[in-house]
Amino acid sequence: MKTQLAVIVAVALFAPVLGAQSVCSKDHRPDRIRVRFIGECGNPRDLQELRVGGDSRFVLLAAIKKDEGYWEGRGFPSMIKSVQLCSNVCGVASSCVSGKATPDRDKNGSKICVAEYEFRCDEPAWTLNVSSTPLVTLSYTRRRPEAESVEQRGELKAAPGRLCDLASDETVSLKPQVKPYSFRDIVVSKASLVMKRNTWTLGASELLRYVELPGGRRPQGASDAESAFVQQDLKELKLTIEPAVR
Amino acid sequence: MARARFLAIVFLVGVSAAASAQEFDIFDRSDFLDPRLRGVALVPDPRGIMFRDESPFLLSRLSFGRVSDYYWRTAPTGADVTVAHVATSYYRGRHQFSLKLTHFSTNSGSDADVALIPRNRVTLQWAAYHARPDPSPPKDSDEAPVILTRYVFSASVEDPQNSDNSSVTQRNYELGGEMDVRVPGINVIGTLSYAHRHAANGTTQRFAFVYRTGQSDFRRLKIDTSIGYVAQKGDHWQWGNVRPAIHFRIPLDRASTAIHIAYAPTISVIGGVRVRHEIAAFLDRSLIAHVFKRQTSDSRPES
Repeated sequence: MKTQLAVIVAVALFAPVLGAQSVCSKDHRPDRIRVRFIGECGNPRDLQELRVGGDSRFVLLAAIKKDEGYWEGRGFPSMIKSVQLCSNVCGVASSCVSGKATPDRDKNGSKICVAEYEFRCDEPAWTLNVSSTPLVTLSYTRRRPEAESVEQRGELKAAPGRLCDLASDETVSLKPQVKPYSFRDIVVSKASLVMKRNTWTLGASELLRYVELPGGRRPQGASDAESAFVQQDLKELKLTIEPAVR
Repeated sequence: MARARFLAIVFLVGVSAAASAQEFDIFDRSDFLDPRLRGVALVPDPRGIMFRDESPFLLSRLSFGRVSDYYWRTAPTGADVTVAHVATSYYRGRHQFSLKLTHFSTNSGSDADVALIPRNRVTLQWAAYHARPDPSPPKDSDEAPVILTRYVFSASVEDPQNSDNSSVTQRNYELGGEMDVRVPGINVIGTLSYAHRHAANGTTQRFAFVYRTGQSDFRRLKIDTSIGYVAQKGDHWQWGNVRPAIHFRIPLDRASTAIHIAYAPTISVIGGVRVRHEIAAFLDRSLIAHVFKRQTSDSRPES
């Protein structure tokens, strides 16, 4: 008798949870997304375009501001694997966050799964300005030390360009896209730029240290002739730290 | 084994019968250009590593400056000189062809000191790059590393300071060669050179070895260090000098120019330790730097 009663109580207690799991299961993509901007984010526009995933190949999702104070948009397209959402609002430090799936009901009372995201503007952000002579395309990778953080990749086409929502502990790896040789990562962080008085100018001689050659570099140092050759493709790369733009 | 390798090196240098330009000319900067930088593919082949050319490159540089206690061939001269030096190199595939024109004007020094230094010098060089698999690659390497070295053969003609232009017989001539060699047993690559000199006062030979000990940066300042040794044979072989050098360079890349300051003491140990100080300050500017083409289709490998 006691056992039967325990089962009834357990079922009564966990039934909503089990129901919610079925609505927000792994196989079920969220029907809606809800986004909140926490802290001093300025005045984000009523219509936000949010990127899904941190890769250079991403999908944009539109979200509209609601009276309740959040932005709401349709759920992720079915072909999208990522559940990471990235803000385009400058000032949101390292702007990709993971969502939290929550069961809810729509206007008609039907059960839906809502993915909730919070972009926090209370963390200081900084902006990296990238310019090159002549103009070249640079690929970038953004990383934070936290294991769960999202690695973001992209391209700055024909720099000058800017990455405007970097977290204090975030590093950016830049690779100029030049042929016939390639560059290894030029890693820059806020701390390293502050050490260089906010600007790091890499001339051809310094860029040469980042050139990757098949079979590895020769043991001798770079010569003036090599520096003159690299200048044909890239004379200078200038990385400047700016105060964050909100 | 080491002895055999040493003898092989000496033999190779000997048969090359070429002379580098001045191994220790403080204003004559390295014109080594890794062919891979130009997109030259190193293709493994049963005969060795072949080179496929992509971008021939023409580079002409002007160096102009002042040298105190100028070091000429094997010893300091005691004279101060002003130097204008134009080095033009054409790089194609594994080959490099260079023409170097140098003009010296002496500013101070005794007649005997000044007489040692030429007024003008013309040097023609042909260099060949050679690649071979690294016999002891780094453990963390994810591709087959190669060792890239260069052989240089050159010929020089000089006008002495006191020469009459019409008097061809007073000109001095040099033939020589240099090659990058790996010191057996340790991972050190230096440049070994040999020169055969024919001058009005006789014929001499000399061997030199230069080891570039490192390159470091301090903000915009680039610092190169090297150590060299030279020995000469006139009537008989003479112990030579040890010559460390430190070279400071501030590149002004946007202007294709660099400011150079160099210091090279010469240390002689025969008859007591003596030190002489060579100091140079000069500007270096690219006059021509031109990449000729970017081939997209495969070209035939050069052997």
